[in-house]
Formats: sequence, structure tokens, C-alpha cells
Amino acid sequence: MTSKAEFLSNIASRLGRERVTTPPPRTVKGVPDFWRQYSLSLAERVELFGEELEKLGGNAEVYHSLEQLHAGLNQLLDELKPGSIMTWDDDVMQSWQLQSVLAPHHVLVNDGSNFIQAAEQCMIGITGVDYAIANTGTLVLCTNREKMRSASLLPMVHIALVRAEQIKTRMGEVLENFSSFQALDAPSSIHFISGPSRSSDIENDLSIGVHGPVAVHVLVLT
Amino acid sequence: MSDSAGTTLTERSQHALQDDFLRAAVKFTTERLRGRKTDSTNDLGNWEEWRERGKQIRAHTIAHLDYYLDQFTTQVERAGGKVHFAKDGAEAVAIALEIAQQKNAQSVVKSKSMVSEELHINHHFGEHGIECIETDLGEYIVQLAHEMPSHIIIPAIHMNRHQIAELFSSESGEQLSSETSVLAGFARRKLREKFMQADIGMTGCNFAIAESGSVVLFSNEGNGRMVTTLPKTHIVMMGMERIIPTWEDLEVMANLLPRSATGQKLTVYLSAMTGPRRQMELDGAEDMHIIILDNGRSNQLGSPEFQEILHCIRCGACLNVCPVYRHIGGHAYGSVYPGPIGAVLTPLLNPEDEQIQELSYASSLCGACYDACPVKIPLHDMLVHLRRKKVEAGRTSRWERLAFRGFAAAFGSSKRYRLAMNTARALQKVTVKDGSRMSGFLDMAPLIKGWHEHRALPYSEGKSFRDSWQDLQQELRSAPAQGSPADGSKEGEK
Repeated sequence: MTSKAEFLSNIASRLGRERVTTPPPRTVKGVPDFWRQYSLSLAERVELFGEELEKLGGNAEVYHSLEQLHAGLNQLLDELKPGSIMTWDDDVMQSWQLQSVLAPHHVLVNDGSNFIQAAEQCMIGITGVDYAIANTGTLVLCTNREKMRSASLLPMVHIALVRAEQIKTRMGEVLENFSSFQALDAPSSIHFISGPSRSSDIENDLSIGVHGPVAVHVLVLT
Repeated sequence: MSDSAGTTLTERSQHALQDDFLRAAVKFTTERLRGRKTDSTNDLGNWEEWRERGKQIRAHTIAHLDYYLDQFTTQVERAGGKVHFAKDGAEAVAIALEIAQQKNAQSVVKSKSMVSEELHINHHFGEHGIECIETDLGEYIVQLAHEMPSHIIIPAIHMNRHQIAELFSSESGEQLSSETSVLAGFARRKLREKFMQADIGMTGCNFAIAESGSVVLFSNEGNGRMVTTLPKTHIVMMGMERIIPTWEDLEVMANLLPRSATGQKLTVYLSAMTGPRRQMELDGAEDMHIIILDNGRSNQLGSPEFQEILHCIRCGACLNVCPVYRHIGGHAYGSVYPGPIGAVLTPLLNPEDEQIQELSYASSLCGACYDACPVKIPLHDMLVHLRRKKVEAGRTSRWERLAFRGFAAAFGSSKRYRLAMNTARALQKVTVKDGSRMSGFLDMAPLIKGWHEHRALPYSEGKSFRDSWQDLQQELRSAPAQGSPADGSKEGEK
């Protein structure tokens, strides 16, 4: 087994110098300036987000009140007729007040026992988001116990609830929030999701929903 | 890492050129990916500035690789992950096996990892009774077919849907139609069972973020997420060079990689894992191991000619523009990494493999690979450097050495040059008639036979320019001053 010290010393000696142990100065970091300046208004971001998501085979609807959003979600659930639903259950999710919408449905209780097996059986996963990105129609989901990875991955359908202010223009604005993370501060996983899963591996023919969700529905509240 | 199994590049190419389906598939795929890259990069705009940015970031990182690897691994350990350093393939395999055996693992689900193919992990695990299942749809297909992938990004382009339907039918025990949705549906169901039951999830690493100890995976199908959500143990196979300093730099790579690979603005999933699941979390790996592999990479550090090869972000754009790859496909290269990147990387990582050094000749030196590379790696220059090394090592054919000695002799003095040219003109009469080639003894001449089979030498009547020069000089001296036409007509009238 090669030790870390050996491995790193080998690198330094190949580069013809001693080990570097302090942050090396950088003149070029991150994106070009013209890209940093790329910034849209809230209304533009909401619109662009929807357009980009539709191009990817996803679905976005914009609502102007929580009641309207609930009605929209109700309608969607009626169409999908799910067996079981799993949801995030952090404080933010509570703030969406989905109790009445979800009441008639079977919702998985995340108590840990056989969680994965149960989650795998769910047809729909409902989550919030931490951020969204207009430029690429992307949802950004940070994981913790209440915001479990499986909800946006295992079920056939992923429904995401987004507040318009969460939508940024470009990815860099989201990444800024992660720069302060040090090891355990960082979420165990962060997922940037742009539409339903896809593959073109069979004769270059597009397939949707290969391993991840077949459908992604985003409900935006402005 | 080279899987040429005693064949030569020429033999494998000839074989590939007989396969009509392969040729059509490679042509279609490369044109499509190339076209999509162009559309997507035009759409983004300022592509050259993005490329330069990518190059700078990669160059800075590699020039300080010890610092960033140190930072990365320290952070990984703080986040609860475990790090292993492997100087070569054998060590990496041993480490992976030990982890698997500690866990009493019986099955491993894998998402795409070129490093794991470089190490033939599936084969080694198989020998120890541990099943490795590829879950990237294209990789799953080639695995069932017991073949090697033929393209970095779309591994099964060499297979048609009927072949795939046959494979899946025999795997499932029922007859499946060859419709894409049926085949993809089978793969989804089958692989889902595997994801749920597997003991270990193995991935590669597109980028490792040094500042937080995060492993970033780009994927479209969701298998990268599945193998890092369901199995209890996650093993990351990481080439030592796959690192970037900060989250901020990820935005650059997120714009360069998907557009260069498939023309997408972003892959469907971009996932960043920092250590295993936290306490109390319900899903995700409980244990994360990162195996950092050298295997000849560090030998390129400090080399002004080859260090930049470590900048590669494995997008496959060079494959899609290469006139050689576009005709022969990936298998003809006989190595895990095909195309221009493979033609440079494989000889460099396998300096003791004499046969594989010939890969630097799988090129017309057109330079399209350099133009296509999102981080501006001068692959075309490297191919020439590799050829030079081969010559310096004396590893060229006797005929080639003789030919160049003859060249040096003939062109070494103007008298010998003129004699050679005049002789050649006389000889031409034997091979060219009325402007078209004649078959004759040159078809069997060594060294030029390959060239001569498909081309005619240019044939000229009359004197050569050199021989005519004396008379031409006279003409020039007695010609009227510049500006007035010699025949006395006015300008503009002709």
C-alpha cells in the first residue's frame, strides 16, 4: 500500500520541486467575467426555467397563490393515481401545508424500518428544493435525514415544489453557497437534477426514464 | 490496459473496416455528437474563452497536484470517508478486493468508470466470485455481450437493436421485441433488482472538489445516483488527476463537459457526494472509500511535452472529430481509451508495451482533436512527440530507416537532388500513362505500396522548373517593367 506521503512526494519530485503546502496563488478562478454578469430578473428566471425544463421533457407550472398550487397538485395526483407517495418532511416541506392535498393518499412514513424497500414501491416522490437554476432548468436538492435522496430518485414520478425566489440565473450563484462548506458541514450529497432520466445507448435512440424518474413535474409559486 | 491481444493496429483496423454496420454506426454517432457539440457551443457563445478558462484551471491544478490532492483527501477523511493511494493497477485492484472481502460482498453495481476498465476490475472481482454489474445502459449491453466498449460516451454504438434484443431476451428468459422502450424497460426492471440487492456501489469520479472533499458525478440515466444511494458501501475509482480546486471551478467544467460530450447544456444528474451518509440519514452509503490511482500518470508530470495529457476531462470530443476514429471505431485501438486521447494516453501509460506504441500512428496529424478539445490539449503535437520517441528508441522498421537514409542522401546536396529528381521523372514513365496510374512493379514495392495502391504519381511532360530556370531568368531580365502588359494591350481590356 502506498502511503499518502509517498504518493504526494512523488508528485512534487516529478514536478521538480518541494511539496507545496500553502494555497498556491491563482489568477484564474471560476467562470469568465461575462458569464458572472449574466443575470436575469425574477420573472425572466421563472420563464426561462420553465422553458428549459420543457425542452428536457419535464413539466413546469406557475401558480400565484398557495391555494392555486394546492389545486394544481391535487389535479396532478388525480391524474397520476399513485399507489404510495413519499415526501421530504423537513420544516420547509411543512411550510407547503400539503396535509389536505395528501390526506386521501397513502404517504410513506419515514420511520426508518425497511425504508428503502418501502420507498422503492412509491410511485411519486414529492420534494422541495434548495435552489433552482433557470439557465439549465435545474433543481438543486441537498440531502439530510428529512430530505432524503430516494425521494427524487426511486419513484417513477418526481414532483418538486419551488418558490420563485429560489430560482437563480446560473449555476455559479448556487455554488457560491457551497464554498464555505468544510467536510461534515457539507450535505452528504447534493443533486443537480435537470429533467427526467434519459439514455441514447440503444442505436442512438432516446429513452426516457431509464433508472431515475420517468417524469419530473415542478410547481412554482410566485 | 492494452487489450490488443497480439494483434496489430492494421489488423484490427482492417477487421473494423469490413463491418458495415459498425462503420455506419460510428459515422452516425460521431457526426451527431459533433453536430450537437457545435450547436451547443455556438449557443453558449465565446467558446474560445471558455476553453482557455478550462485549460488554465486544469493547468494550475496539475501544476499543484500535490497540494490539491492533500487538501481533497484531508477533507474526505474529515467527512467520514476513507482514502487509499494506489501507485499502480495491481495495488488498486488489491485495495478494492480487500474492501469487498471485508464486507463479504457478493455483488457490485457499477456506474461508468474508465479507471475501473483500465484496471479490469470486473475480471479480477469475477475471479474471486464477486459479481460486477455494469448499470450504464451501454456498458450493461457490452458487458452482456462480453465485449469492450467502443466509445467513451456511448459504449454500445457498434451493436444494433436486434443484437441487443437477443442479448436481453436470453438474459430475461423471454422473447423481447427490439423496440427501444421495451429494451430500456427491461434494463430498468432488471437493473433495479440489482441496485436493491448489491453490497457495493462502484463509481468513477468526474471531478473531485479539493476544497470540500466532494466527489462529483455527471450522469444522464440516474445509475450514478442509484449506486450511491442504495448499496451500503461506495467505492470511488479516481484517477489522481481528476481534481479541481473549488466549487467555483465546477461551473466551468459543468459548461465544458456536457456540451463537449453530447451537446447537452448539462447532464440530467450532477451529483456531489461528500463522505458517506450522515448519522440518522435513511439512504446513501454508510461507508465510502476513494481509491486514488497513479498507474503511470505521475510519470507525465514534469514532462513539458506530455504533462498536459493529465488535463483531460474525458469528454470524448476528440473521438468525434478524428478522421481515423470515425472510420475504424473504438475496438480497433485495442485499448480502453480509444481515439486521439487513447492514441496518446495508452502508449504513455504502457511504455513497456512495444506493440501499443504504434497507436501514435493511428492519426493523420490533422489537428482536429486539438481544435475540439475543451481544455486545449495539444494532442496533435503529442502524437508527433510520441513518434519521435519511437524513432529515437530505434523501434522503427528497417525499411523506414533505410528510406530516410536515402532521403537524407538524396536531398543532402543539390547535385544528388537533381539526379534523384531526374531519375524519378524517368521512372514515372513506367507507372503513369495518360495521367492515370498503371499497375506495375511499384504495387509491390515495400514502404510505398500502401500509398501507391490508391494514388497516381503526378506526371509531367517537358522540363522541370529547375531545368527551365536558366531560360526563365533570361525572359525575366528582358521583360518590360511591371505594370504594363507585355503584349501592349491596355489594362482592363483583357
